[in-house]
Amino acid sequence: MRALGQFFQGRRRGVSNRKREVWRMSIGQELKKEFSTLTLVLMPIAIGINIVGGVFIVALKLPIYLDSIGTVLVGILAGPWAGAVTGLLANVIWGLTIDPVAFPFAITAFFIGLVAGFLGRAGMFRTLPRALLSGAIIGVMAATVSTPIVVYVFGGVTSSGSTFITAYLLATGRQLIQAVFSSSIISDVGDKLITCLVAYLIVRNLPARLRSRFAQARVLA
Amino acid sequence: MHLLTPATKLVGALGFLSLIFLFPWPWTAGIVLAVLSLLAAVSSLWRKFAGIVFRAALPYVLMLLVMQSLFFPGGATPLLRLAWFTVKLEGVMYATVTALRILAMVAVFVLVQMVTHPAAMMADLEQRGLSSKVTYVVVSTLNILPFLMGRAGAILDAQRSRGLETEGSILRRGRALLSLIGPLVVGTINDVQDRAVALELRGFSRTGTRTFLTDTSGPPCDRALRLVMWGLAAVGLLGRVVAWVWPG
Repeated sequence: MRALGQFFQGRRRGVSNRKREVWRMSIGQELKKEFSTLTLVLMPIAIGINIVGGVFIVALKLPIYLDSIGTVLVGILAGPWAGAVTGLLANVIWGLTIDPVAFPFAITAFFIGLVAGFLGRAGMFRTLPRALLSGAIIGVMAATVSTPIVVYVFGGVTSSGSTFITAYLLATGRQLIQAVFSSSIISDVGDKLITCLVAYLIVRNLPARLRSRFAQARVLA
Repeated sequence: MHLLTPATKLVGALGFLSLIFLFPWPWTAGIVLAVLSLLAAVSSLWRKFAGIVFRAALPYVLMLLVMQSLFFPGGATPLLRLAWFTVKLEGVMYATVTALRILAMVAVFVLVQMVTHPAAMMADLEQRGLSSKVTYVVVSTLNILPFLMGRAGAILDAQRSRGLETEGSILRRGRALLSLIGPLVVGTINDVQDRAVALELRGFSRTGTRTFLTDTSGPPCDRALRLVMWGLAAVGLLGRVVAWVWPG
């Protein structure tokens, strides 16, 4: 795992061949470590936070979704694949309990967790500016993955205000995919920026005892 | 319909979804919607079913009709003119077809969810080979949700009583969000370690076969029905392939 982190910084430090071999060999072990019992207990809580966070948003009347906080947290703390599965299952459960429309976006959530995990491994959540950059990256990626879903499954319509932007862009003559992508970028980047900011602050303020227990968070200390 | 195994219902969902989205004929969704509504009516679930489906899909349908009727790029046949907008036929067609597809998709999910108990579904999937870790996560989440909701409400009240400003400028409300989410997350994560130990004590990560408490066998026609559903899924897929190979 340390080898993987070093792989990302390989360009700076010059990763030796032996270290690369260690990285390749321990993927299976890494996955097992990522899905330890501790992670499995964290995941329902993270999914719960995803869903319950919406309660706060509504109470505060903020114009964001903030439905990926748990996913990003699991990605940072436990690793990319755990984060990805969290996102996937979060959307599945959201679809089962709250709103069936969430099912197709499980793919987006999968990638949000995955990218958040890899960014966390690469140390992109160590400082505030880096965390914000991660938010932007994840936002762009989320918009990219969501756009085909919104276009082909929903015909360009979402349940948020970004549909108005899409409509405006359509009216000015753009194609549907472009219009949806542009409005998605605007809403998703903003939302993911805030999500990553909150995730960063939470991880920062986790008691050290808890932080050291998670497979990946040690890197952040 | 409540008696069928959850797996059959899931395969049924897959089959119908495949028909809705893959089969090239655009009005398939309408037929699927009609069939599902019939099933709901027969199982005396119609009211609840219709209510949920319409409530979930309504915003999409409305926005779709408005947006695509007025702004559909590249349509040729105008139907009527409203001020400076032109309602085009292609736009309305596209909107109706997509709206039907959304309605049908939501209907599939809602119907499956209404006739399937989540615990039974997880047990059935696990018996068919789904990892127990996944089923744990899903079942645990469903159980933890009411608890977390209560906790969130309590935190909201507690912070408010300590003078947290939940009205005002966006910046202030944003900072309030942090004071709300922080306690929620840290409080629940503190539980995590205890829960993990409790699970381990109950043999959670033990490998090997397990025996199950719930019985999820269905009526005799279950197997046949499941094959039919797989057939539907295949029909959808084949239809798409055929259309791709044979355009026009």
